Amino acid sequence: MIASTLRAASGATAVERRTLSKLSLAALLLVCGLLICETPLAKRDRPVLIGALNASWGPTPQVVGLRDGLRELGYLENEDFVIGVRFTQGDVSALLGAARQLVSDGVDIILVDHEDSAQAARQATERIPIVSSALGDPVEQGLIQSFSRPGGNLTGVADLHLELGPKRLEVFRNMLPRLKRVLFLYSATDRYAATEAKALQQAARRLGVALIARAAQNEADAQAVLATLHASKIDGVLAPRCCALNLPDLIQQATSRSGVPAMYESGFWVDRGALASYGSDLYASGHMAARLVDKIMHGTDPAEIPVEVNRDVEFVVNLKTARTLGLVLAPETTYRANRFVQ
Amino acid sequence: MAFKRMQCFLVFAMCSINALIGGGAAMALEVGERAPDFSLPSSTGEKVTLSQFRGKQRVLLEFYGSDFAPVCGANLSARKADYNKFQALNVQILGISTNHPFSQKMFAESLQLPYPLLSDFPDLKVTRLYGGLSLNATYARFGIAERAFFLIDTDGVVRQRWLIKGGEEVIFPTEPLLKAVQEIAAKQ
Repeated sequence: MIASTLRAASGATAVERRTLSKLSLAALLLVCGLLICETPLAKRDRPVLIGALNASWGPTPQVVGLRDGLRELGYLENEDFVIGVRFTQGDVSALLGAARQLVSDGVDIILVDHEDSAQAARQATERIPIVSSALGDPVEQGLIQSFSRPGGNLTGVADLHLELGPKRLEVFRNMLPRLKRVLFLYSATDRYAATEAKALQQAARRLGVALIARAAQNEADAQAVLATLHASKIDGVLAPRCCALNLPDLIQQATSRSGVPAMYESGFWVDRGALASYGSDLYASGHMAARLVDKIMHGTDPAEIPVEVNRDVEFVVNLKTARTLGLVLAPETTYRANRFVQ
Repeated sequence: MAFKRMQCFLVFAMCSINALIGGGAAMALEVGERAPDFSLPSSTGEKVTLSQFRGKQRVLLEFYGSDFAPVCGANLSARKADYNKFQALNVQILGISTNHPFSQKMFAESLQLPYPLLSDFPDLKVTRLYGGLSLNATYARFGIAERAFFLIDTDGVVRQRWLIKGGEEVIFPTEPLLKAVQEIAAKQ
């Protein structure tokens, strides 16, 4: 096509020839662009750059699961793929800027966990594929059209977090039959946690427990709430899953100091001294996400990749913390737990 | 039997890889030696060459093990906290690891470091040259840098070094580094 264009140009005027050459160049660039776009990521001669975006302090269990999953699928780290973690150290408001930076850094795929980072990535790009390793309520949050056909540039793994919230409270109550007043502390900027608080309120009524849902405006506000656990007659704390305002860590520190039991979503915190957790295995979610990333690397449009559901639910109990708190665990607890931390 | 043979092969293969990479694990540079020049891609997107600072600034090379390791983040952040003090003493800090440049860029941006991280990937030449290459089972394929610091004066000579053996869990304080720079500055 370019050769015939140039041949035609030989009989044209100088202005026409310049116009034709410009058109030829544009056509060439377009063809090259299309070729690059249509080359599956896995077949390019450089590693696929995966930017993992989160509000945490580094790689989350999902990121580690993704890396291990890709390795098991036969990909070599640093040769076939590189994961760079862009974390914002508890600052949810910095996620959008970080997501935009990932886009300008030229990442091929963005890995997100939790709704805040997913929303930020969606705002930053409609072109780069986004894989979420922890979708709690993706349709309601406007992240996807449906589980079977996400429709946009985001797909991922749903972790049933919202559905498991009431069950988490029930498990907590079963562990501590005297549980009467439970604090659920979350960041005021965490839209997802506000939805979760409503589901927990309904469950609390059914279970005969008073749920005190508090939206903290900032870290100082959260610290003030946590400083008055005994004065507020709180006998259990439910931690949010998002690390906005560093809340999971603040709760961990405050409950350890005051001897109030805390229940988390992830065993990560039980390994660090929390009493218990009930929720999806986050590592497994990341591991599952590797399959979706693999599909994208082979050229499948994320809009067409159904959201998968992680049904790998873990109940983890820290026996040392239970002893420190003077708790005698009911046989039902020891029978149901998947893992104990000694 | 076949399984045992496979085990022997794997052990042999791992030893060979270690020997190949470990062959370059030289002794660390001594104080008073000229710091070997190098040019590496940095987290700012530009190449950084050691000799570009010669005659202008002192350089503190901080070798660290791995991006995203909490202890490495804490170490780099400790230098960030005292960055102004280093600047006042005319010291350019350069972090070096064997990680991929993309991973380093993400790490530096996340920590909001005011100084660049340099990628010694994939050759590990600089880490080997300065004698800080460490191998363990997890990273046998690539090798990682031992935590180490080299203070280089404006003439390109190593004036002080700190080799932190088994430093994976060590958050090295900034004070001894600053003190050493102050002593060198006083002598000059």
